This record gives sequence, structure tokens and C-alpha cells, in this order.
Amino acid sequence: MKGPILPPEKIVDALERLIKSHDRVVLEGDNQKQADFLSRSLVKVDPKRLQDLHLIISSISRPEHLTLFELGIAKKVDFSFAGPQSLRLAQLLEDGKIEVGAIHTYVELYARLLIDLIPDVVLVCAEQADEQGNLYTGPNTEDTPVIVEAAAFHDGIVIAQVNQITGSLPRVDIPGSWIDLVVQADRPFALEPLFTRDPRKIDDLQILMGMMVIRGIYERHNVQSLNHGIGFGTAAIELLLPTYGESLGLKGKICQHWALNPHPTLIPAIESGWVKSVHCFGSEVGMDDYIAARPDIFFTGRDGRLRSNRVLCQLAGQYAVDAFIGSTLQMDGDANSSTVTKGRLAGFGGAPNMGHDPHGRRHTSPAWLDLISSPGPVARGRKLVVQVVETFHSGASPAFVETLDAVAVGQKAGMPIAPVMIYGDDVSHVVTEEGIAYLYKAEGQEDRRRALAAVAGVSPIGLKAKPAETAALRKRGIVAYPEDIGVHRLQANRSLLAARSMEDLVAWSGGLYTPPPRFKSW
Amino acid sequence: MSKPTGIRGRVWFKALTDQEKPMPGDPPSVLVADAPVGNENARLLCVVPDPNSRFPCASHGEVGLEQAYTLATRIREIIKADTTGSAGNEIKKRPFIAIVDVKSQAYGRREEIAGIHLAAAAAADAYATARFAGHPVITLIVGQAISGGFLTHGYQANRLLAFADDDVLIHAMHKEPAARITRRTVAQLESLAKTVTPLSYDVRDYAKLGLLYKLLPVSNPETPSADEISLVRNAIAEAIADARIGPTDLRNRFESEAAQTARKATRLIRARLEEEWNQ
Amino acid sequence: MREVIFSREYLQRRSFIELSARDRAESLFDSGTGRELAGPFDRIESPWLAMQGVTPQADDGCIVMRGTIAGQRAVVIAFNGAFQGGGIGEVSGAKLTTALDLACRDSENGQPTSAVLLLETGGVRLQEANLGLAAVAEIISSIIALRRYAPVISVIAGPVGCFGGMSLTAGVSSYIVMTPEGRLGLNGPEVIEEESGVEEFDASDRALTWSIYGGQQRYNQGLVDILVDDDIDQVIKTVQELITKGVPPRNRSEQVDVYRSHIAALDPSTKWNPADVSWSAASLARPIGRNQEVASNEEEHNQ
Repeated sequence: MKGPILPPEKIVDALERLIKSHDRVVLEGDNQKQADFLSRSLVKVDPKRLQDLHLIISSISRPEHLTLFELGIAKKVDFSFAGPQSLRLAQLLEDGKIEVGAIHTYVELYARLLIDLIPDVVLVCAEQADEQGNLYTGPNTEDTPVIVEAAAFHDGIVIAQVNQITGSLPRVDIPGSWIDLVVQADRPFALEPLFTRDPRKIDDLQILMGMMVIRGIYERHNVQSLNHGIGFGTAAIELLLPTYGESLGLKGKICQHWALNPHPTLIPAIESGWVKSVHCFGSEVGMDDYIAARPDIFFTGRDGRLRSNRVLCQLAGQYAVDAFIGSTLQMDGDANSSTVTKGRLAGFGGAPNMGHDPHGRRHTSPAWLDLISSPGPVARGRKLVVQVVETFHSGASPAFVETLDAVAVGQKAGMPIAPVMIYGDDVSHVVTEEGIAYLYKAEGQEDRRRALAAVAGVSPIGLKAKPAETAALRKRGIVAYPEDIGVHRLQANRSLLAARSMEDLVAWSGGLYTPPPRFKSW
Repeated sequence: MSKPTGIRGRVWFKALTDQEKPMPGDPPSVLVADAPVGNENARLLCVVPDPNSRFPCASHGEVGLEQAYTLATRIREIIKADTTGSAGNEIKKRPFIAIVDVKSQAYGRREEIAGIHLAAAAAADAYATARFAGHPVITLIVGQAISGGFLTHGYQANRLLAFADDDVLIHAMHKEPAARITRRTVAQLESLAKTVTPLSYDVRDYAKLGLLYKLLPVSNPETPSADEISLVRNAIAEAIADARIGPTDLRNRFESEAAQTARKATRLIRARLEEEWNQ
Repeated sequence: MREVIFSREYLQRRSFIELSARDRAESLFDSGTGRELAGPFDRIESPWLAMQGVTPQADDGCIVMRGTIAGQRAVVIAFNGAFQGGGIGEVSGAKLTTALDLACRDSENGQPTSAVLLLETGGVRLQEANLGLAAVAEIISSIIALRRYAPVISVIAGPVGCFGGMSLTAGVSSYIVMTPEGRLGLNGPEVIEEESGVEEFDASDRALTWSIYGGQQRYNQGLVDILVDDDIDQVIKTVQELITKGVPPRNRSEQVDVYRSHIAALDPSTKWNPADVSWSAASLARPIGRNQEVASNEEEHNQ
């Protein structure tokens, strides 16, 4: 062994020696990058030597993450998200093979690394290391700094897998004095293009809702800074800004500062001069060269490459933006929403961080002030938390339901509270293909329910709406239908999108964006 | 369906031509020979399995790249030879007989890379061109005639003949994949086929669509008797004679007696379009 | 550092793929001359779908329009890939065949009438199985009859592509026009995976799919005459030029010797790279479109 550099063939042995049974171990893995060489190595340790680890992992994404529990190497888990493994996780829980500490939001889990989940060992990944152990985490820096910090300064052991060991790094993202061991992985760490949406799949209803958001929310409340979720609905909005938004004369007036991953669908808005800045949680596969060409917009290092940081971006998304807008699979009559459905324990990821009104905010902005709904000497403003929901999913199951599936799933899993993603009282607006419910303006719970029902179509919740009540809500400005805000349904078609295909996005980027092969159709 | 294809093709090619070898330079999977039928000298063509095929996806009696281009070549050489001479003498156009027992087209990646759609088009083109040039084109379906395989080899004929036999199969797709793709069970498909004639896998139902010229009673297609062979020869000769006096296009397929009922929608569309064409 | 240089002209083009089948057909005609025949108000629906619990459509997913293109008589037949995957049923098949036959009749009578096929189709509609297959055979025959007098132009624009038996109809056309997003082949990736296994073809691999069936590759191979962007104006201009050009001296599917010798020269015992299976001198660069434009911009910038 030379300095901190460990030969790859020694990694399993090293893990067996450095980790003790019952240790708290952080395995780096979020919805994008994965320390998969280390996770694939950890399943190879002798379960007789190493048992009952307490695993802390932001996203349970890879099959071997759960194999650790089947083999008895790990026993307890604290996590944020389990999208791809949510079925198997639910099964293991039922079989008593796994004990869940809690399901968190991302930033909440990292916060606990500094308080009551201080790690003994952390297993992280980086693009490159030099011989002193300095790390270059590059565009996908994401969670690595906070995970390393929690261990390095509290007697923990830090082990990093890297794609490459090199003489000189493009830049140092994490200093070598924080790192104990560096090992070269057998292949580059796994990376998921989670934020790429093919414009070909955006439909006319999503475009209609996007137009309503631009007129009825962004323009109406003067939204300057924002975060978008990853659905097709928000991708539609991004692609409508340079066309529909421009036709309304809104360029330079709304949507200038973003806490957002480098969504390929944002390229046309950037190239049309809509966007002043974007801070990122992580990077996105294929976007590196484009980002490097726009250092005026993105946060980049002296090497020209993006620097992302999930914790800082989450913080920015909580305290520094006017609006969050996302979508959900289910919403109940009180606007509580969840992406947990029967048989799946998916967790939350980052949405709840973005999707709430932080009461610690003290600075003002026009949008924040515009949501003050009650007069009074000490009234506070409010962050816009917008949910975009089509009233029915394809396959005709309603999105608006009497009771969230999450309630039953939570009970079955023995959770103390139902896994709600965004609580209804945090939601300020709900947008459907029927219209917008300005929930923050509603007076009292019944008024709120009626407003939501008025836009819930023919779902079980929507059927409760009464025409007379809805008319009154429209008059009071608590509910708006497209015609109330000057949106023409017939105008809502795909010709409005600034890019209608992946190929268009590549063209907008001047050929600098290179989509992953699975998104190519030419 | 479980029966291997190709046995019948070989048997009938031999029975009608007294030959069983490919022409020089042709792949072993394409049998072509010239032989007398009635008082005509016809060219007979048949695709058979070749376990040693250069292209593995075309070794069980599928029509692949080589088969399609070979058929096209062997048809076009006769069309060329029978073209009206310079003195303007009308040459009698020789008939083509396609003996059909094809499992399907070849389902392979290499085939697609090399443009099998064009190979199939070239063979269909050659048959249709022969027909429009005045060659009687007769198809004898002795076994399977499935999907792209049939479009390539046989479906451009003036007259279609088929054996009334349970193992004769004319269809757009084999039963199992068709059920999967339309999200049904094979049993559901079979029960639907009882009322929806074009779905049926029974050649007697196929005959109700009006596309066939004749259904021939042959009870031993794999080991035909001398009587059966002579019956088939006569039927082919009759079809040739009928083709010679009829139009060279395919209108008989929707003007036939059976088509008057089975293809009502086709006839309605034809009438409506004709009516509106010059309005 | 590289700069972002893009063609605003390309991005502001009007998409052809995005149009409905009816609008695509209409767009090709000289202004105001397109007239729909046997349209949805005639309500001639598939008689077979309802029997199987499938809702039929009043135009059966096939639009026939007559008018003039570049001043010449033409008929356009457009398929709607969103209805039953553009599958050919009895009615849609008969629409296409009859339109070709009427164009042929007029052409024979001294009034040449071209046909333009806008193909968005997976082939035979399985719910109408044998009548769909029979229709495809009749379509092929009618194209071959008409193309002697007037060009038959197949346009494959959208990602639904042109597959199954309908790839033969493209194959026997006078000309084929494709966009890079279009696909052309006999057996689609899903069918090959189903019939021959995932090791023969991984249908989820889009890059592989387009490297084999995609418009750019088919053009490079010489299996397509003209490659255009997904741009209404380019498609219109190309169709007008081809109609003006008239019947080609030799149709592609008649050139049996050429293609037969290409196949004989291939070695099926090796693994093939689609890009290497190419028989066209035109395989080096595409003639139209922004790829070339972007490349030349970049070149300029690097100097």
C-alpha cells in the first residue's frame, strides 16, 4: 500500500478489518450516483466476521444494498428513498429481515449524521484521486462532502472508490487529509440520468397545465426564483417559457434564478436568455459539456466543470426560492399527497424539503409577500408550494382519492406515522387540467376542500364539487379555470414547445448536450 | 403447427417437376425448375428448409435475404426471356407456379441490417411484374403461408390454390405470438376466430374470405397418391387457363362470390372512393 | 472553452411529425386543393374491431386526400400511428388500394396522378389478421401498377416508423423519403426479441434500434432516396421535387442483381456493425439539415 492508495484486490479484506459488527456505516448512493464498487465489495465480506451493521443510505437503489440484509451483514437501515427496490424492501420488512430506523428526506438524513447517527465508517465515490488522497468529485459532487465531513472530524474512517488515480487533479473537491483509504474501482461509478425527460412524451394536457402555471402562478405572483420537480409537467413548463412565456412578454420578469439539476429541458430557456443562474444538487448525464460552456449560469470550478452540492442546494431550495412545483401520484381531499402506493415503500427523496414552507425564513420577496392572505401587523409571507396533478392516471385510476394508499402501507409496515410526502397544509396551489385551486386563499378547512374538489374533475373528490359553490369560489378568486386567467385550451398543443424531441434539445445546445443512448431516436 | 415445415414443399416440388435440386448457383433452400403443366411449360418455385443456411435465422423454411433475391432473379430471367421480340412477335408468357410452405419471414438482426424488407419487396415485385406482364402466376399452398413469408413468396399470384387440410395454415402471425401481442389467451383467440373469420387459422374459414380460387381435397399432402397429384395438376392447369383470360390485377379477390359477403367493407370503400373521386 | 452555437432557423422549423395524419396530408397539397375522400363523416368503420371489444374509428386511421401538388394531380394517403399503431385493417387497406387504383386508372387515361404514402404503421392489424395481410398484398400490387405511369412516394417521418408487411410497400415505391427519427424494417426490434430471443435483439436498446432501422442509416445504406429533417417545409419541397421529377428510370426493388450481389458479399459468420453494411456512395454526409450546418459552424469556431 502506498499512502492512502489501496490495491483493489484488497478491498474486501480491508472492509472486514476496518468495519466492526454493529458499526454505523454510510454507503454513498443517492438517486444519481452510486459507490457501487464498494457496495458490491461489501456483500462479499464474510457474514461470520461482520454482522448486524446499521446502514445509512440515502437511496436504496441497487440490488446488493438489500442483499446485505438477506446475508445478515446488515440489520438496520435509515434511508430517504427506495424507488427501484421499494417492492423488495417491503417484502424484507415483512419477513423481519430488516429493521427500519426511519424514512427521511435527504437533508434531514444528512443532518442526523452530525447529531445522533454519527458514522463509524463511510464509503463514498469520486471521479479521481491523486496519490495524497485528494478527491475530484467533479460535476456529480452531490452528497460526498457532507458524508465525508461527518466521519472525518469524528474519528470515523473514510474510504473512497475512484474511477481513476492520477498525478494531478483538475481541481480538489475534498482534501486528502479527510480521507483514509482510496481504491480504484473496476468500472466508473454508476450514474442514473434521472432528470432527463424526452419532450416527445409531453402531451397536450401537460402543456395546458404548464400554460396555467405560467399565467396563473408565475406571472400572477411574480415568481423570480424556483425549484422544479422532475415530472413531464414541469418539463413542459421549462419548454413553454421561451415560446408561450415570451409571447406574454414575461422574459426577464419571472423565473430567473433556479435551484435545479441541469435539466436538459431547461436548455432552450437558458439559450433564450430567460435564466440568470442555476445551482445544482447534482449533475445530469450528458450535460457536462453544455454546462462547461455556460459558466455564467451554472456554478463551475476553475477546471470549467460543474460543482454540485446536494445539501447546499437543498438549503437554497428551502430558504432562498419563491416557489416549488412538483407532481404526485395521489392526493387526498385535504391536499395531502404521497408517491407511496400499495406494496411499495418508496420513501421521499428531496421533495418534502422543497415542498414545504420554511418558517425560519425572514427575508422577503414579491412572491413571498404576495401570499399573505390575512391582514395584521405581524403577518408573514409564504413560499409557494405548487402541486401539478392530472385528475386521472392513464389506466383510469383517479389521482384524487378519499384516503391515500400511504395510510395502509404505513400501518402495514408498523410505521408510527403515515408516509406522507407533502402535507396538505404546506400546499399553496394545486393545478389540474381543470384549473387552479389557490388553496392559500381559502378560509377554513371546508373552503379549502371545496376549492380542491372544484379542480378535481370526475375523481371521487371532484364529484363532491357543487356548481354553485364552484362559481362562488371562482368569483372570489380561490379557483380559476383556464378562461379565467386568459389561457386558451385550444392553444395548448405540442407546437408550443420550444423543443419537441431529444434531437431538438441537442440542437438547442449547439451539439454540446449528448443524451444517453437510451434516449436517442435518430 | 407442430409439424415441421418444408416436407410438403419438397414433396410437391418433386411431384410436379420430377426434380429436387436447386439451380446452379442458387442456395439449397430455393428450388426452381421448369416443367410441363397441362399443355404449358411452367416455372415452379419453392422455398424449403436448409439446416446449413449461411443465415441461421433462415434455416427452417423461413424466407430470408438469399431466398427472396433468388426468387426475384429466377422470375425476372423468365420475364426478360419472354418479352415481346423486336419483330413484334407475341411470345407466349410462361406461367409461374409458387409452391408455398413457408414458416414466416426470417426474424434476425442481420437480416434487418441488410434490409430484408427490400429483399422481400424485390420478390413480391418480381411476381407482380410477371403477372402484369401477362404471365399467369399460380400459387399452390401445400403447408404454411405465414405473414411476410407469404407476402414475399406467393401472395402476388392471379390465382391462389390451397389444400383443404388441417395443417394448411394461412395467416398474418402464428397463434401463440398473435395471442400474446393482442393480450389474449390462445383459447380466447380460438373462440373469437369462430365469429371473426379473418382471425381463423382454419383454411376452410380462409376460403370464406373470397381470396382463394379453389380449395383442393388432398388427404395425404405428405405422401400424395397418383390421383391426388393428377388432381392438383389439373387444378393448376385450369387456374392457368382462367388467369390467361382474366385481368392481370388482383380484383378477383374482392369481386369473387365469397368476397361479396366477407369483404363488404372493402367493396363499400371502393364504391365510395370511386363516387367521390371526381366530385 | 466551447460556445453554444445553434441554428435558430432549424429550431424554428415547423414539425411534420407533430401534425395529425389529416394535417400532414393537407400540408402537402397546393394551397386549398386538398379534398378528403371517404372521410370520417362517411363513417366507414372496421366491421371487425367492435366484435372484439375494440372501439373503431370513423376514418379507420387512414386519410385519403386528392388535389394537386406542384400543379400536378396527386393523391395522398396518410396513416395515423396513434390508432392501432397505424395497423392495416380491411378498411384502411382498401382505402389505400382503391386510391392507388383510381390514380392508376386516371394515369392510364392520360392524366398522370402521383401517390404519396405517409406511413406510420407497424404493419398488419392483428385484429383483422388475414384481411390485413391480404390488403397488404393488394397494396403492393396496386403500387407496382401505378408506378409505371406516375411516381409513388413513401414518406416515413415519425418514430412509429414503417414495419411488417408495410415495409414491402415502401420497398416497391418509386421513392422513399425519411427523417432521422423515422424507422424502416420488416421485423421490428420487439418482434425479433420475441421470436429469436433477447440475445438476437435487445429491443430496449434504442441506440441499437436506430443504428439499424433509423432514417440516417437507411439513407447511408442507399435504401432511402432522400433524408429530410422533421420540417414541414422540407417535406413539402422534397415531395414537390420528386413529383416534378416523375417516374425513376429503374425502381429500387427491380434492381435485383445489384442487391443480390451485396448480400452474397456479406459474411454472416461475423458480428456486423450496422454502419459497415452500406452500399451507397452517399453514405458520407447527409445532404440536407442542420447536422452539417452545426458541424461547419464548429469547424469555423475551431480555426
